[in-house]
Amino acid sequence: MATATAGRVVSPWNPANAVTASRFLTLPPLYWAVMHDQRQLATLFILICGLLDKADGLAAKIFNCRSAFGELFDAITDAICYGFALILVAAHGWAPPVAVALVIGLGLANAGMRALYARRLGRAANYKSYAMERVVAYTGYLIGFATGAMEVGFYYWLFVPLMAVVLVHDAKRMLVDPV
Amino acid sequence: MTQLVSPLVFKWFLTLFTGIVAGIWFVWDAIKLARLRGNDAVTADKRFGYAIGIVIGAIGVIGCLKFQGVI
Repeated sequence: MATATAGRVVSPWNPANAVTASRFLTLPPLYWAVMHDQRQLATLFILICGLLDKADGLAAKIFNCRSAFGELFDAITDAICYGFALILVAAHGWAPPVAVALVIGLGLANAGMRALYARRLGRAANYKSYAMERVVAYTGYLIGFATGAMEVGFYYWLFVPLMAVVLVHDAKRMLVDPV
Repeated sequence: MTQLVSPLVFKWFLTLFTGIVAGIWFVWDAIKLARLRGNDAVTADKRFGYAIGIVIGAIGVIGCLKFQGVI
């Protein structure tokens, strides 16, 4: 599937999407590290996952291969990687399970609203939310706070209401306001 | 348990990495918010996003201070 960007067709098989896909490779070693109580290694793997998230945008810029599909793939990869890691650290007792459940629930609601937004537009598209971009970056940090045992309760319980506020704001923009 | 670095170094790495990123984040979004002009929908989205960024930056820095026992 190739998507058109400003009159130019961009193949989904491009360097930026390859960097995005490579983030999945950090999940098995992260799982191993958490299961073996290797806090420092777990922190390293989630750090690599987060840095690759920044690197894919850079690759898209350098190789001029930005596309709507790439943005959507990036958002889906964020959801899978961070969702998996959050469940992992909560299941292992490194993060409060209730807070993680709320974050996952809000994340699923966000994904559902984005699907509805794409349906309203009639094409694969990722809603550009400046606030949610920041919240997603915070999510990456949440996993690092859990693996590093760094003020876990403080960071997790402040994150939940913040994400809820952003979700309500974006719900109006995606579902109510004209597209 | 494999230790890449000593617990003290690890603690300081977490503190500095989080604190520096959060601090820059706070200042960066504060500057962008101050420079923002206009009243259209996209500008309103940006305004809200930058405000959230400032809050996240502040939370990050406060967490670091708590982690180091400063507050």
